[in-house]
Amino acid sequence: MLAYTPLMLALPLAGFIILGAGGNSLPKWLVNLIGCGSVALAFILALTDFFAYGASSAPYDIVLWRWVTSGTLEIHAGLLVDKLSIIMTMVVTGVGFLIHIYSIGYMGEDPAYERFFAFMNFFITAMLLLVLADNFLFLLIGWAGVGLASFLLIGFWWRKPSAVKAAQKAFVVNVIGDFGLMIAIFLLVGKTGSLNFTDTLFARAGLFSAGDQTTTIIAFMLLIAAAAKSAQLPLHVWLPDAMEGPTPVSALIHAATMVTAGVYLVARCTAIFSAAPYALETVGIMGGASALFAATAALFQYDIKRVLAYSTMSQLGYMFMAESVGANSAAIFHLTTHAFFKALLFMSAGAVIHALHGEQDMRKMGGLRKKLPVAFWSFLIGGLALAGIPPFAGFWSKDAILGAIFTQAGATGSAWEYVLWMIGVITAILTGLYIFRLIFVVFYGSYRGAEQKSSGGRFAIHEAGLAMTDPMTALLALSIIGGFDGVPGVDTIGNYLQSAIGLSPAAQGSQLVILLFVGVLAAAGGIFIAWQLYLARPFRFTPNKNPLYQLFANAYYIDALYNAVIVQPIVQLGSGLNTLLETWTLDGGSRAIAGGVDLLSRALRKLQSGYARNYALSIVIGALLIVAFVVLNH
Amino acid sequence: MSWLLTILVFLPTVGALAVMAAPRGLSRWLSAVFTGVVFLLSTWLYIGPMLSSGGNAAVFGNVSHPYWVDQAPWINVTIGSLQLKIDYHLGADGLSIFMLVLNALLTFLAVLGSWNIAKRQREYMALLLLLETGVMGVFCAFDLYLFWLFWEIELIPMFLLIAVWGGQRREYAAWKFVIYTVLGSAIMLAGILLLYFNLGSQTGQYNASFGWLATHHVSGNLTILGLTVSSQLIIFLLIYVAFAIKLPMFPFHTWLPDAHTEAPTAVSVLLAGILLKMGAYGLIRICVDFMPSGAHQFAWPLAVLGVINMVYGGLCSLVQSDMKKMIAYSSVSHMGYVILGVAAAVGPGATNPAFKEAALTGAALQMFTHGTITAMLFFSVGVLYDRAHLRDINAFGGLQAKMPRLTWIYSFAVLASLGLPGLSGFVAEYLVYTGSFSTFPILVAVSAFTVIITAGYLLWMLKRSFFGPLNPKWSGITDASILEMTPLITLAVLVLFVGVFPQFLINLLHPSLSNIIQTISGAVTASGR
Repeated sequence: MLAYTPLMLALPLAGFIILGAGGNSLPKWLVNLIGCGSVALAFILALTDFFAYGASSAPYDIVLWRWVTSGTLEIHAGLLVDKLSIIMTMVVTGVGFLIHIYSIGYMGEDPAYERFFAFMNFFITAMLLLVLADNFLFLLIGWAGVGLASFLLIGFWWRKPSAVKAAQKAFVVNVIGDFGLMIAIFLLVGKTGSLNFTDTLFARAGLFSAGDQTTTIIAFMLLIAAAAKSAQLPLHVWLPDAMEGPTPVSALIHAATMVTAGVYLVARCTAIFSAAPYALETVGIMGGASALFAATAALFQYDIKRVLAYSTMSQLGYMFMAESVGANSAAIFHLTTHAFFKALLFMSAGAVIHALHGEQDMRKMGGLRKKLPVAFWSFLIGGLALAGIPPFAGFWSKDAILGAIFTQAGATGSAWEYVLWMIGVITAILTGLYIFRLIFVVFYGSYRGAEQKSSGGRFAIHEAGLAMTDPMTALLALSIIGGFDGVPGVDTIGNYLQSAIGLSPAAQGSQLVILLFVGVLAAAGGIFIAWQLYLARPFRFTPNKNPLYQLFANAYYIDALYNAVIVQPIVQLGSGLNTLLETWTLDGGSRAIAGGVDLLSRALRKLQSGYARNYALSIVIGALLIVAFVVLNH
Repeated sequence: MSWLLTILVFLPTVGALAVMAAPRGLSRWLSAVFTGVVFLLSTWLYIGPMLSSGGNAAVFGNVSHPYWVDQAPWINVTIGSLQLKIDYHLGADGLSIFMLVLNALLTFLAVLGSWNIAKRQREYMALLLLLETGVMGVFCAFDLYLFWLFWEIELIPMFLLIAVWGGQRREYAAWKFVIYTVLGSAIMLAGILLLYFNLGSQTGQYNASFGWLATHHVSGNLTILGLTVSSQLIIFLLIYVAFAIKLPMFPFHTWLPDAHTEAPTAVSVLLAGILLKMGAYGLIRICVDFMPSGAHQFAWPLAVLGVINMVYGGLCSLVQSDMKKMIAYSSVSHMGYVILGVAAAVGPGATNPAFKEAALTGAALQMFTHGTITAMLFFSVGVLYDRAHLRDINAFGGLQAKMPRLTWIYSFAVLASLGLPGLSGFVAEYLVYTGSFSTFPILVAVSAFTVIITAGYLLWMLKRSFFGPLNPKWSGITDASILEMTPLITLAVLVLFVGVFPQFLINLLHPSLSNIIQTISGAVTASGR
């Protein structure tokens, strides 16, 4: 069955081509069938791969065609199935399918409906290529492909200038990541002579050795790529703006799948990172800083989706923290549960936005619990899972991460790793705080928005249709039970990944029950603060001049900083070069030469006066000179 | 002796005569037929040998043994000890075929793209056909003098096309183009003569055929202005000046933004798509292969200049407000990849020859990909200009609402141009980078920032012109017609196909390029460096 894996990509690709080329002449039901059906079939193929691969540990390599050969260097198009890629494909196609279904409802009235599904299918294709590629080059192609899909979908509503701006920003930041990945690949191929995972990552031990400078640089370059794609500091600036895209896009690309590509990359390249301790430590610093930074930035956002965007960044930070201590399986576990509950949160946010006709400002919401019960319950369960309250999915995976960091800290005695653990706990408090702030403000209290128009005598705020609520229900269930395969002691996902090639031993979650309580207490503490601040007393949004509040609410002013320090100087440099060097010096220089020649010929032209007397005079002078020359030389 | 190359070179001339003789109403149809037939013939250059060899691309041969040859003695004069021997010698190996097909295709598409040109259509079409002859000749001349001759012939139709059918400052731009190019070719002629007579006196045989020059290299030193320099370096530099201007290489590039901007759409397409490649082709075919150790000595400056091209061109593009001028500077930037790739191929360090060939292959592929992608960009801007008579990026806005077809194809071209993996531009850039990284790691890392700058200026342009709210001024603008879309879609298919399956082009190039790599390594080993 594994031999059918290429179909997994071919089906959504076919969907993209059909919908992209002729979607606007197809009836809507057929667009739905092609758009969602192709992803559903891909999911079934991912499941069959899971069962067919079973407990094997040898990667299954499928070579499709030769892409480029140059002497001994051969690059082919190929796919590789192993446990890591199987888990990734199941998440991508499974959650992807649910979000496609949801889009039928959410995008139902959009005039460019079929284009939306075409792009979504394109995204699924590119993402599957990213996780299934058997070499770095096709990984890069998938990597850039998801970036393109993200660009197209963020800018889907291209009439909105803010959306187009956000799309451009996302693309340019992602190209910085692509640049890192490219440099890593050049170094890698220079070092090993091959780009295939089998010859590099899975090759004999000792290919990448600690202390080897090239390996360290490769790891850092991969890290740039991972940071850009997974919106980690300092390359995170595009993710909050990316919320300009339609909400299903935020759910699929900017929460569940594409942004986790960086986590996948680091896990896939364990062989390189474990030989580059500095890089691995930087992964932890980056993850910890991003987790804390984003959690604080999420505290005072007004836009419901921006809260979730910073939350995603923060949770991705957890995954990188786990990877920095070698707990890749915990990271991938959290990646999976996060895909469930964060997609759920985005979908419920979408349901709220949909019901309020595009309103995203939490200051204009409130009291929606009764009117939107499905959205409320989804938000509540998703929020509990995100905060890390047992027995919901996020609890087990976050505990696996914190436990792994603590265990590792105990094993190495490294102070930094204890700090990392502390950051994890503090972030957990903040997580409970910001997500329940959102829930209390949106669903409790009284409605603060403009009165919605009644239609047919009914109050206009009403629950979304089945196309939207059904996938929400499915993810709601997964957010409840999705973590049980990772319960310490059971830990099937850890065991599953432990035997996967290239992953270090599974982290077993908190070995000490006390740590488990610390995690729960942190989350509960955060929720309690939120309850105190936003629910216990009637709450009103008031402008707050507190500098710390402003710092958090403006995400530390990093956007403005980058604009002033990087973007403007580059534009100024271009402008300066264009004026001083290009126009004045080079072009001016060449025109000056031309002008000089022109003047010279004007002067010389005077000699050709056309008067015989002048010519006669010249002849006489010339003859005299010749005579003088001859005489003087004798 | 098949005469196929001769037909390929001179059929357009026949076409030009036919166009001038026929009634005015027929000229565009005749031109389409002639360029169409030439295009089909040119594909036979590829298909024929592939069929006869059962798909083995080694059959295309290399500079010494090209598959296609047309040869006849032409001028043979002996004055004392001096012998002047110029043959009518055309040949085509993989490297030539590749450019011949591209030229034939782009000229055909240029005729389609000029279908509705109103001003003196007959003369315009005839000049396009003459231009095709000149360029075809450059790409399949296998005698250095003949090469120079075609190099000059191409200039005349191009000058007239810009000067008569161009924009507001057309005469200025045309003169600038001509003065720059003629200056280059005068210096090149000096180089050619120096090479011919030096080599002749060293070997006792006066011969300017490519096969001879690629296997017999000048040795020794020349003294110029009291400096003793290796003859190969001197000759390399003299000949390269012409190619550097054509490429164009910093700081000789300033003719290009003016010429590109002022030329009519189809001529900009040919200028960027094909004429710049004459410089790149000459660099690879002549400068590197005939003066390998000269090229080797110049590798470092060449690499630095290539990187300057890339970064500087990108930075200049960033601040242009004229759409065509932006694309012109992006050409400067993209042609830098060719220079960098060649520099790495001839560069220092006894690295894996696979990397040297990868760099050279990337440089050669960049000729093709830049030709097709930039042609798409210029065709797209042409569609816009025909309607709006404006090229100012900021004067538009939200055009997607009125021109969805053009927006999509233009966006495709932009993505290809910024090197999106999966499209052809990526293959070339990737191979150049991979191949040159081990030779010039720092330079490549610096130049890779170009990728980011490129994404910046191209997307910014799209954003300002095509997305956002529609500028009400353009509410009456119409989308691209089927005729206008034809060249764009043809090229898009090609760009996608080469991006996914580049190997067939690499196979075509391999026999020629691996031979050049051998020549280089032979020369480098011989000189003991």
